[in-house]
Amino acid sequence: MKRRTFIKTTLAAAPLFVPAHVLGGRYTAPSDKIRMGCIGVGSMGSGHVRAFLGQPDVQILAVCDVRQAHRERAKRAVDTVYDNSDCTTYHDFRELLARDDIDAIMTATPDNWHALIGLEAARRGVDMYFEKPLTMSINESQALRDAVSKYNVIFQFGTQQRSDYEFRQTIELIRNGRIGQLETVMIGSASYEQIPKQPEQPVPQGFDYDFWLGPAPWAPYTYERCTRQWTLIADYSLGCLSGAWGIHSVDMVQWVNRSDNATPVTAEGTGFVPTSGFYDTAQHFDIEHVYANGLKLIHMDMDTAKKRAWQFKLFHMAILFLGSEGWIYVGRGFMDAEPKSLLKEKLGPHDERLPFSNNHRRNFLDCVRDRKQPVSNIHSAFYSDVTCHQAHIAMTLGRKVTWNAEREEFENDPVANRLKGRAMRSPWHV
Amino acid sequence: MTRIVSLLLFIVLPIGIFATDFDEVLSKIGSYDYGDSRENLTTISEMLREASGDVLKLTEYEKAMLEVLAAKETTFAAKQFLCKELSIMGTEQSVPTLAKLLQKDETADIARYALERIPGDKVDAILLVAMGKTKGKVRVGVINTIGERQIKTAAPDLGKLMTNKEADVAMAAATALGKIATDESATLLGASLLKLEGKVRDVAMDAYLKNADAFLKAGDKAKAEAIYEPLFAETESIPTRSAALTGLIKTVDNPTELIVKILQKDENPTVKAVAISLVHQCKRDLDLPAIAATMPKLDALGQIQLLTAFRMKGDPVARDIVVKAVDSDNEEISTAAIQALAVIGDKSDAERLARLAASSTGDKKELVKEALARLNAEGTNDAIIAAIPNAEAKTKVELVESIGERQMTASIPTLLDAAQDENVRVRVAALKALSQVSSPSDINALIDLLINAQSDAERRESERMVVAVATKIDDKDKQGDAVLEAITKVDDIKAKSSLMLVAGSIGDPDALPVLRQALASEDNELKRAAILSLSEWPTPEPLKDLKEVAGAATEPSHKVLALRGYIRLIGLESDRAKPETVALYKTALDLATDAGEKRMALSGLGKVRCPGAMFLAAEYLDDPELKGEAEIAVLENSWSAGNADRDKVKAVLQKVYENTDDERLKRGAKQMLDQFNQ
Repeated sequence: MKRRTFIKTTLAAAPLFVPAHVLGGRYTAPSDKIRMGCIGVGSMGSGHVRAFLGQPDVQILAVCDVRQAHRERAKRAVDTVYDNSDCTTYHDFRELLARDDIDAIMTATPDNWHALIGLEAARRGVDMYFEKPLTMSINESQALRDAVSKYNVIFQFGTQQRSDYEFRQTIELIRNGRIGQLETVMIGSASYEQIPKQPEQPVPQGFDYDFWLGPAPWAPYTYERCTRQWTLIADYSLGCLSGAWGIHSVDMVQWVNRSDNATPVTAEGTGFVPTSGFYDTAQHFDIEHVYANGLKLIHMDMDTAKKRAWQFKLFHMAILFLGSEGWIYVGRGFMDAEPKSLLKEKLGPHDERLPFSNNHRRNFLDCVRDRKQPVSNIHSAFYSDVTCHQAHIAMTLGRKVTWNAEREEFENDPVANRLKGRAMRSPWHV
Repeated sequence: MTRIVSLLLFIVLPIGIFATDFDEVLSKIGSYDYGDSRENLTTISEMLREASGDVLKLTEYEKAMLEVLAAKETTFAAKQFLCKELSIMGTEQSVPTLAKLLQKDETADIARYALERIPGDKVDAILLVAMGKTKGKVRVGVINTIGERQIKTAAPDLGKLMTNKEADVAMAAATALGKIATDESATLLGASLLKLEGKVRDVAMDAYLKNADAFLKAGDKAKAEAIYEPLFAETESIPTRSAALTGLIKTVDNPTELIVKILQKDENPTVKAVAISLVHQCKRDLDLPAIAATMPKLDALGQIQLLTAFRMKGDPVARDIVVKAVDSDNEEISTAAIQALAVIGDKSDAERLARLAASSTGDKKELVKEALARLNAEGTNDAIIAAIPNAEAKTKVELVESIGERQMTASIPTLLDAAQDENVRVRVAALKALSQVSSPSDINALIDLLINAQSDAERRESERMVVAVATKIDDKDKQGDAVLEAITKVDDIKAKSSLMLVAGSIGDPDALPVLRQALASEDNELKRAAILSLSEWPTPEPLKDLKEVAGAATEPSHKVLALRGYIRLIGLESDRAKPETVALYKTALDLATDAGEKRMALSGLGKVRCPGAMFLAAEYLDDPELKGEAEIAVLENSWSAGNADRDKVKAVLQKVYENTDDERLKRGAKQMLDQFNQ
């Protein structure tokens, strides 16, 4: 019997506004636990492993990584906490997902793997905590969105700012008109420092490099390609525009604009990709989107953003919401506003409120139990992701693109529509 | 202007491009290898974008690119780049060259990269030929591309390939049929399920469901239902049943009937959970009372899930069952019901929740209070006001507090009345609520409440209330006016002391003379209030006043309070030079007679970050009572001691390293010593 066989006794209730642990704090019987597998346990994934190990209603049964050292490190971490040697290691995520006792996975692999792992998990009826971004192309994201919906699995996207106090407070204030009509949002995303050309190197023992590349175009092995900075290489990521930060902020704009089922209508702008050095995603960019309701979203790297608005000197990687009667500038753990009284503003019962979550992983686990949609569900994830793809395609083509929401394709633009998908290296396919 | 600047930044590269001949640049990329400068590649890309819409020019460019692509000496990396570009702008002109690359194991993937995106029947044709001729991974790739391109004429061949002995080929074929989604593909997939097994059958099942989804999307419900319905059979896997049910809910005539049937009769909890989640996901009209009637048949988690679904649905029609569940013996069912009630409850639930909050404790109390604060049914505010006069004291407290939480600014008269209630808890609750909803125009009424406070609890709450409201005044210079005026008029010492504390917390400079005057008072209580008030001052301005009291007061408690205030004010943000701050801490350390105050001063000293602070802290390393704080202060300041006498710094760090009992500090000292030794 697969997931949700823990449905036997009383369980933690789904919190509307009180975190489950507030009501919990009790011992959770093994049979009541959510049995998890963790796929991709490198730098970010291992952090997730530690965090999920700290949740009383989680039992991690297996870990998976194409690096032997990573999966063994993760196994040690799991076994140490459970004081046994039961954690199973896998090199191929399909074997982990073929088990019939996995309720949920955490996946934190390079972006080129996201769609394939997500689709397989959905098809197996496995819930997933899914590191951002969604996928490498609009077509892949559509396939994943459809599969998650079809198999009715719980999907939490790793845009954890939806579980952050400052961001939720900001979005609620703006949605309730506290800065008047929201007119423009400026995003200051990350940029990066280029590194020089890297020499081809022998693949280290214990690392299945071909599997690491997976559906991405072949390229010779070099250490730097496979460190966390793969997010700056175009074959595995859209770079700072999306997976290397941008999607966090774009997701906030989607949220504030009630666009969890829509994207901007247009995207237009420029980007600078260095012509030398190892990384080949945009280092600087300046993209302007316009939503159907007229809201303007200007997505920039931090260096460009600082030239646009003084607020970007206050705090790194943040968002500036400009309304007709004020502004709010918000980053992780930072908030400034005009008028200043907004910083102490309290909402009333008739104000629109957002679903409460102050712990993204906890929100996921609660939703696994009570089958409700998490704060960063597949629908919001999909539209945030498509917004980043729109920006990337506009930048690649060097011109404006217009999105047809009904058909989910670019309007009268066959060239842009070609870029909706990208062929995978055989045998991989979505 | 800034927009122009940034655009200029981005067009630096293209400026050089326009003068460059395409063929000349192209001739340089044949030897490109991974890691080489991408300047020529970028130039090619930019020129292709620039030519967008110019068919003649692009045709010429494509032709030239194909020549390089076909050349034997062209590197793999260059071919990969060219195929990526052809995927964006290539035409059927590219087909012959790409077809050749498609036949070779090492170049098949890069050829498909281009072919998958290039439109045209010729591309379809060479893929269909390749499907029959290629083998292994190349064939799988070709089938995948056929699927992506949804080549309908490939269906019969794909149908046959689903039984191919190579599992990858069979799965690719099934997946492709899932994307093609025609009557023919559905027939082939449906029939294959009877023959296939294991992972290939799983993939074919997924593809078959995709066909049904495509039919549904195209508006053909009957065709979709014909697929979903048999796949919901109990013999199928749970994921398949879940997917079929998610589809069926959109196609059946009576979705309520389907959900009720599952909740009453289906044995599988996962399928039940999916049915419950569809209660809020389903966009169709549902008979919620009929679904609610199944509650007693559900286990505890099922009930929690259903209550959650009602909350997500937000439809008040399910309120009755939710209200009943609030009283459940199962705490978690009750919790889910309370959360649902906040969303779908009506005005009568305000008093219900207030009573429940009054009788609850701990986390549950907080949960119910929050539900009351968020209850947004029409008329709720009026219901709260109406319930107050006759409510029991405990319930009244909850109702009054909810006025604050709900920001009911029009209810200030009710709160002012409640602040005179016979029950002290109600009075305190009213003061708390007033601090949340009052505006600066209410300040005098609030000060009156403070002056007339009947208990210490009310007095403390009143003080917080007046500070909260006074600091809402936009003009900072006027925030303390009403309080200062009241100080001069009030004779009662307790009230005067409270007002002085309030004045200190507000930090209005006009209050300083009044407080200084009180410092000189003969009345100990007044003097104590002045010390406390100055100690809470938001700037270091009263440092001198507090130092004098700390040094000269005859009353020991005044001395201690003033010294603590003095130490607190030293730590506030200031423009003074760091050595001056160190000198102030030295004064504090000299004045302190008690280890507690000395520890406070050493703790502040740690944050100064200068060599002087380090050396001052080092003077206390031998004092067993102060050693811990002194060691931390030394280490914290050692980061800023780079320009100081290195030997002296090292000696201090060595002393910490050798004598500390704290392993963490020992490691820190060692680390710093290593740095200084380098």
